[in-house]
Amino acid sequence: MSLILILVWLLPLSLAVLAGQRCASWITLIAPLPALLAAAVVPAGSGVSLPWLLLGVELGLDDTGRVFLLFSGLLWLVASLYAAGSLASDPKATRFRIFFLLAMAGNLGLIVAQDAVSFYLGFTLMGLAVYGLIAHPASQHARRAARRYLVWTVAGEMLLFVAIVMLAAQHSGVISFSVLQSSPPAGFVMLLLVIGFGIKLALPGLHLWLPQAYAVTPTPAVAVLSGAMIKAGLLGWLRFLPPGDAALVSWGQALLAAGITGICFGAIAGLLQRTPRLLLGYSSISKMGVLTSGMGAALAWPETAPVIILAVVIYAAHHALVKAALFLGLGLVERDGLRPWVQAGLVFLALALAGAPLTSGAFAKSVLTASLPQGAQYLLLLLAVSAFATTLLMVRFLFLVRGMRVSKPSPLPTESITAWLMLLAIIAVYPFVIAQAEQLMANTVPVFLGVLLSVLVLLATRRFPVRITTRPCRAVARSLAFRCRHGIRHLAHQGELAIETLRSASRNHYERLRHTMEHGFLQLRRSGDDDERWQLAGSLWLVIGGLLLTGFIFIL
Amino acid sequence: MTDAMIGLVALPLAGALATLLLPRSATAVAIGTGLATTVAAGLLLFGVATQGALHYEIGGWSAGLGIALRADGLSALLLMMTALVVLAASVYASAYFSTVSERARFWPLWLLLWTSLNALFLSGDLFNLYVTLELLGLSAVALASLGGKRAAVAAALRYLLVGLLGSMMFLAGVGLIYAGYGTLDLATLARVVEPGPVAWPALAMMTAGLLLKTALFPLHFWLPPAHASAPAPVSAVLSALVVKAAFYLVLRLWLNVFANVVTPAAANLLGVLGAGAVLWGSWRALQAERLKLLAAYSTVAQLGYLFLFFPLLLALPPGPTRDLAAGGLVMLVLTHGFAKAGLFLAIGIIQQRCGHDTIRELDGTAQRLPATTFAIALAGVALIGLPPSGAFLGKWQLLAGAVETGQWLWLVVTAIGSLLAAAYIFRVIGHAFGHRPYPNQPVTVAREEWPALLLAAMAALVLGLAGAPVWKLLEIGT
Amino acid sequence: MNWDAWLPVLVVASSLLPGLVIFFLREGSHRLRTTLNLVGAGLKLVLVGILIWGVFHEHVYESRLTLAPGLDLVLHADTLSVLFVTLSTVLWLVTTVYAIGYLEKAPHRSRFFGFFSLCVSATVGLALAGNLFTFVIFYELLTLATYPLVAHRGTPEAVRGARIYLTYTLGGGMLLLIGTVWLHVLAGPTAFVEGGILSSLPTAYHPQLKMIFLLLIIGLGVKAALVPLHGWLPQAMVAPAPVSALLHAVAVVKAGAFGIVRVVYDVYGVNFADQLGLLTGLGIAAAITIVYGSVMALFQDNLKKRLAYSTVSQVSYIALGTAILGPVGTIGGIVHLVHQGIMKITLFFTAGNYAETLGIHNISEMNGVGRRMPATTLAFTVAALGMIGVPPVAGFVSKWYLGLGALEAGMATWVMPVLVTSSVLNAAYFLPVLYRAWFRDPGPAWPAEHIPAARFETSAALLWPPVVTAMLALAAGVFAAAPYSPLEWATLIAHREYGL
Repeated sequence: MSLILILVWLLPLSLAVLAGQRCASWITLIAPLPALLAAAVVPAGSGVSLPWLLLGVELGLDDTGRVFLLFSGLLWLVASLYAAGSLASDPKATRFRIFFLLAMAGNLGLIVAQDAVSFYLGFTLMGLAVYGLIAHPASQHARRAARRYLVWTVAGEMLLFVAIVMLAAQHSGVISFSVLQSSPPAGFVMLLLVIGFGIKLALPGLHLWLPQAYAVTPTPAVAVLSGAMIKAGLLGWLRFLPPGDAALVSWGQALLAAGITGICFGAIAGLLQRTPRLLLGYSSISKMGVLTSGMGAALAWPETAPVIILAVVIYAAHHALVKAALFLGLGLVERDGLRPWVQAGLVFLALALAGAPLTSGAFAKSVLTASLPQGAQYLLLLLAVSAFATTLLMVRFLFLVRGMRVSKPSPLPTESITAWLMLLAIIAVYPFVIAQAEQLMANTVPVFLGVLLSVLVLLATRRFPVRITTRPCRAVARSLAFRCRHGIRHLAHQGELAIETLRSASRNHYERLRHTMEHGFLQLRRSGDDDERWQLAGSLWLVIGGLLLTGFIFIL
Repeated sequence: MTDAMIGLVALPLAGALATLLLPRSATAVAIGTGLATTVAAGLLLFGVATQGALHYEIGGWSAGLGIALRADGLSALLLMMTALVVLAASVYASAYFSTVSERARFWPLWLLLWTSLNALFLSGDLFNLYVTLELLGLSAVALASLGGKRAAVAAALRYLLVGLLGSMMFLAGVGLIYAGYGTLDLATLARVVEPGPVAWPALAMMTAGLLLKTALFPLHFWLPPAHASAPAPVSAVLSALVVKAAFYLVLRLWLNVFANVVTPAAANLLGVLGAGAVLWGSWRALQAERLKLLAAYSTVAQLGYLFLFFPLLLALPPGPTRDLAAGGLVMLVLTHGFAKAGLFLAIGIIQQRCGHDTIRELDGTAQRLPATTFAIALAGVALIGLPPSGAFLGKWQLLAGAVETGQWLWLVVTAIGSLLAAAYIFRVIGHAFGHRPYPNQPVTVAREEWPALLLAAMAALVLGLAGAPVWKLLEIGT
Repeated sequence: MNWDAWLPVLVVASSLLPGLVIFFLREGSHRLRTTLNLVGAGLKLVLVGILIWGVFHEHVYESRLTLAPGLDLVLHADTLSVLFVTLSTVLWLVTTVYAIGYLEKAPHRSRFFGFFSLCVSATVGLALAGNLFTFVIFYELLTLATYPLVAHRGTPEAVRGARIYLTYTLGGGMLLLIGTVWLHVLAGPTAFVEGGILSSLPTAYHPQLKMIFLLLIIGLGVKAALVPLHGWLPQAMVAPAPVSALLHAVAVVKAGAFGIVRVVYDVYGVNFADQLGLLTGLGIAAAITIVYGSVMALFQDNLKKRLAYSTVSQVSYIALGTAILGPVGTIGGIVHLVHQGIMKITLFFTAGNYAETLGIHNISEMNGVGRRMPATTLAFTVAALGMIGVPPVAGFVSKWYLGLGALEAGMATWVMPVLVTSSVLNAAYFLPVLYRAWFRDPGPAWPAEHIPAARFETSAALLWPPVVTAMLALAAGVFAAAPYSPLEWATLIAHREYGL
């Protein structure tokens, strides 16, 4: 048992060394297998403790972890298979594979972590490795997006570092989750945790890295990024914030508010996008808002927390699989244009994300609705609105995909197609395996309304063409950033000038002083010719003799 | 052990006569004498260490009439240092002087100098001290003028005049003492001298005369020119031993004989002059263009350190702390003696090989003479006062004494002086690092380089690491 | 033969004697010189192993030589000295191998290796010093031994850099000496005793003790590169890479930091120092240095200069750890002594590799070097990540303990922002370098390709040392909680200091 838990992250890590070999793409496929095995086989509550590793590592699997491991492992497997096909013609494939495996190790590692430091280790490893994935395309755009991502990630990781050190101090140096969850964190720590993980979860205001990152990352990477890795933020909250504690109610309400903002903002911004990738990005922001609201609800109503959390996790799993599949399908379209069967798959996925009946979305939505506490009826309305908005988003997405033009079509590799179809199959089938009948029938009204509205809008725009642009906002933001950067650089330059002036001024003074002193000494040395020197010496000598005598006589 | 005392004076004297009479085998005779004298010094040191202070009256005439030889810890140490330095310089000189005529003039004077030094350290009464002091001065002058050039002769003449002035002053003081107390024996005087109209002017005149001979700032002006033109072994001995002899006399007079006459005010005067010597000497050394001048001014500075001890010694009550400080002073004397001698010998090698000793043009010349440069480096370490040299221990005691008595000025002066010394030493060493590769063998002329190296090593390493017995020896007083 | 009394002397002699012999070797005798070096290093490693075992089992190893009444040269092995001696010995071995490869065709190798060995002897002697007097002696000897190494190349810049180095270090040494003498006069022979010996002095001496502390810290701070005494460090970068590696990881800078640790813990005693209010000042100086060093590093294009300022910043973590009262902060400071040494030496080795193999001196020339020299750049990456504080490299462990210690001592309000700012700045000046190395395409040609690409990217003697030290840096972090790790040893030291 313990070996499997260790292999979950150790295998991808060690395989990263072999990323340059010829059969590397098949090697990448093996990497997520221990994770799936562990999710299936390892009993809940079991764990392994490695006190000699790092600062004392504890690994284990609880129910939440199992679900996370299951969908993450699955996504990494599918993405590896996809990548095996799409990277075949890439000259820098080795580099991509190394970062891919490292990110995998980090992602899977943080799921099985049962102590704060190994969680942080996996989180950091994942965060830094993703940089390599985003920066993989050598374009200027990719470089900028990757740099922005890195700045946000590093900032988040620093905040988290402070948070876990403070948590450890609160519990006199112990870092295992079982101890950390025994009492709620102090207020400042809560803030750091919310912001730190919120950056990963792309809360509105902290989301600025996401859209451009999603726009440039290669397909298999963006699939796992949006599917599995973004959920690490949620897992962080689940691990670090003890649910069921009355002290965190106000924080729960704050999270709820943030989640609601996320839902709305994501939806509206998404509708204004003109590229499918950016739209999917904002859709993710919206869905993360749902998860955040769920987390907030769990904190705000501690009695029902366990049920809410389970629902949130199931919702996360659903979103992960569907969003990844959407990106993979989009990848196929970007390579070879819109084939009919691809379009069919995308329509199915769109319905699933929106939560149409008989899809995983419906299942997840109904579980979530059922878990909500009595006093929170407005949340049901919220979920309905979210479903409605998602439907609109998805319709727009399909519309955009139809309008995509591929510049250089290349044939679709079999591995990629297989991978995508596999995922589609899983998404289609699993609800029927685990759900009950009525759960699959939920959500009909919002979806129907959404479809209706979309059709109306479509017909309307055909008659009155309208152009929406997001350009003014972006332009304002860009000029603001530019002005800030320019201001800082100017300030730094002024500072340097000031220091330089001070330095040269002091140097001048010093030079002048030195010159005067040297001149003085020179005068002293060159005091006249021989005779004068003898006189000087002689008089000095007599003076000294006299002083000695005086010294002896008058004891001062 | 009395034989050792006699031997220390008789052997070099006999050797001087022998070299005068046998000019062809002068070198062999001189080296032989040197070895014998060194053995005698060693025996004396051993004798003092085991039996305590030694005393010998020549011809059986007791104090008051006869000449007494006295050896205590301090003089035994100084005698040993003299022997080692002169022996090393003799070995060096045997290769330095190439022509027979040079050698014929050099060796007798050299051995005469040695005789007078030994006799001075062993003297037990004031008149004897005057005689040996005069002899010392004259032989030093003669040796200094051996260079033959106009500048050398002019400098030697100046040295002669200053020396004669100094010893005359000293003699005047001695005369006053004799008139006042009727005896010249040091031990007796130490018992009977009282502060009064006899002792004050006597001590003042003697000290003033000795200060001239020991080249204390601002009376140091004769030293640098005398060094600049003297041959290397002569410079070595001049800086290391001759000026120290005068200092030894000041020390003896102030600490032993006239101990209850000296006052803190006078000591402070010496301290102030010493501080001036340290700062001025170091500053001038930093600006020197030639190595020999650098070393000469360095001597001026180092002598200043020695005089800084006087206010401390007088402010500390008699006891272990005072003994520690006194030991530090002697350690500085010994270290400087070895170090400066080694430095001058090394400079001599450079001057002979390259034809000049201008510091700025040392680039590359130092590369050809790595052992010499190493000797300069070692000597430099001892002059700066870095561990593990004996000077480090000496400076430690100086600083400790300053802290103990609250006289912070000497501390600051020592610190600045050490840093300036580091500046001028490393200025020279900085030129040792160049691009060009080494010769295959590090040592080029063994007879010249080994003495320099050994002397410098003595100062920089041996005295520092094995110097603890110095304090024990100093407890053996007259 | 009383081995307990001779062992410390032998440890020092095992590099001193080969060094002295090497001075007299001819330039051409490579094999003999290499043999002497490696035999000396190996022997020292064995002796240090015995020392570790003994100290762990509370043996007493002490050598004593009386230089003057009241002044004893004492070599004494306790837990803290063993830590530093082990670090020095292991890193010396690695650096010797590296230096042999680096100076393959350079002139004056005998002189270089001679002074190299003297330098290590001085460091080891300093580590084993049993009282402040001995410490000062070896401190000055270290200055003397390192000066020729800095000036080795003989160019005008090298001589100038060496002169600046000397000015700073001799000045600092003088202040240290004055402080030591003063302390000696007040309190007698200042032996290093865990918990300090000065707390028993009467209160009337306290103002003087504060002044002495200031003098000691300034004197030590010159070598430890506390701002504003750090000016020599960037200038000393003219030295060959093995010298920079040794100076900045092991010998000079660490000696200063080690001295500060000794003074606070074993002379004053950390509780007494806190009572006198000295720790706050030290902490502030350390904090200023940490931030200043990181900021200055941002503006350097020369790789070695950037690493130099990074050293200025990182070594002050040790001083910061010393200023934090409590065992956890102490552990953080002391373990960073080891961790920073290993990481920084890796960085300097790789910088030297780039210069020797491809003629790269500036970061702007480093585009795409990851493809040409992957192992070296990987080592650089590991060490850089450690500097930033990314787990599991060793730097994370130090920062963890420093942060935890600050929180437990109630100093978190200003220590945590300093730690975070420094980490962010570290990321800001290391990550772009990594980006250039791994993600950019190389230019048309390298500045000066001295060693062409063969089976390995560069010569073996240049390649293996950074790889080995990078692995050590990783291992020190990954196995931090394992027995005999630097962290465990630091914990032992802290517990003995606080009497736990």
